[in-house]
Amino acid sequence: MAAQIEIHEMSALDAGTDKTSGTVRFKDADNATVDLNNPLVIPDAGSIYSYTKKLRAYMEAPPDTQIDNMRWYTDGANGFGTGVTATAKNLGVTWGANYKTLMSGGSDLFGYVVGAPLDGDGTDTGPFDSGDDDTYIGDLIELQMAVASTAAHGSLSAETLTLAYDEI
Amino acid sequence: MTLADHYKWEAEKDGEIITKGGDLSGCQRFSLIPQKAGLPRVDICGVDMVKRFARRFAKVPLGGTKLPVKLPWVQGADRIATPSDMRAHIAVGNLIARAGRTFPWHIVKEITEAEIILGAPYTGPTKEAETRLHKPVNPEEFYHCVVCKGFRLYCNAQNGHVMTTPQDYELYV
Repeated sequence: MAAQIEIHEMSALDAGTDKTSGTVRFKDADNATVDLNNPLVIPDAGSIYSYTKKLRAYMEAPPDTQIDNMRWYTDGANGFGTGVTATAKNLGVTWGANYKTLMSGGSDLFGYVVGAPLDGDGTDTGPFDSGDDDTYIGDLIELQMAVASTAAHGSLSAETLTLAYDEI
Repeated sequence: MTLADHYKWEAEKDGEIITKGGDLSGCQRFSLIPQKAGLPRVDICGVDMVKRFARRFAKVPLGGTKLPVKLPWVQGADRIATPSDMRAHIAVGNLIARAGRTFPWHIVKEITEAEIILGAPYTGPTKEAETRLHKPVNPEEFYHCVVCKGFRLYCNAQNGHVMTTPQDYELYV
């Protein structure tokens, strides 16, 4: 049997919304809904921050043997444009409420690339097998977007975050 | 989609057929057997095999998304009908994002699968809804990997394309 692993946007340590074929929209509200509400408004000075987003992998169907080597990465190029940045960090399995102040300890999301990915299972370590079926696996990944006064008006082009893992 | 949708694998070791696990040591043959028409079969034999695994890349768009077709808007109209052939491919959420990029968000009254309805006829300049380049995102990719002594082989599970690399090369796309 082949595994089915989903990417969920989390609302609690063990609860989230499947975003595998969806979009994670950074906004000025703490929810996973992709809508027109609560846009990030360019400030007159300084920067504003979106509510943080937390992502985690979910095992919808188990593998024959195991899953391991989970990692998250981008293409390394910030396509959001001038004045818009994104940061990320690994939270392990410690849940905390989402917030819209500057993330501490985060690094540039686009610094996480193929050769230097964000570890996805450093705390909740693999391998994951059939005993993990229908549960969240790996670590929580926290993301946040910052919009500076230098940003251009309008909506953004989408960027892509990749979750890679090995399956046996 | 799962790993087994396009290919199933099997290995042969001293006459025994193996279909589970990752250890290929001592195997004489490894095969990727297509489950869909048009995909090539891949067989490896005559080499020393070490192990196998599959690598999946799941991709999630951040910050926005682009629709693959244009929604022409006519000045003075209060709604845009979505072509029927695109409805099966576009979630309402994506349509909402599209409308948000095209119009001031506060004038959008309702968005359904079939149309975008504005609160009043739009009086701004005529334009095409969403004129920026579409950046397609393939939501997932699978590769089968067979590690042999001296090289490894990656096979794209969606199209059967094969590439060989050094034995310790880790492919990420």
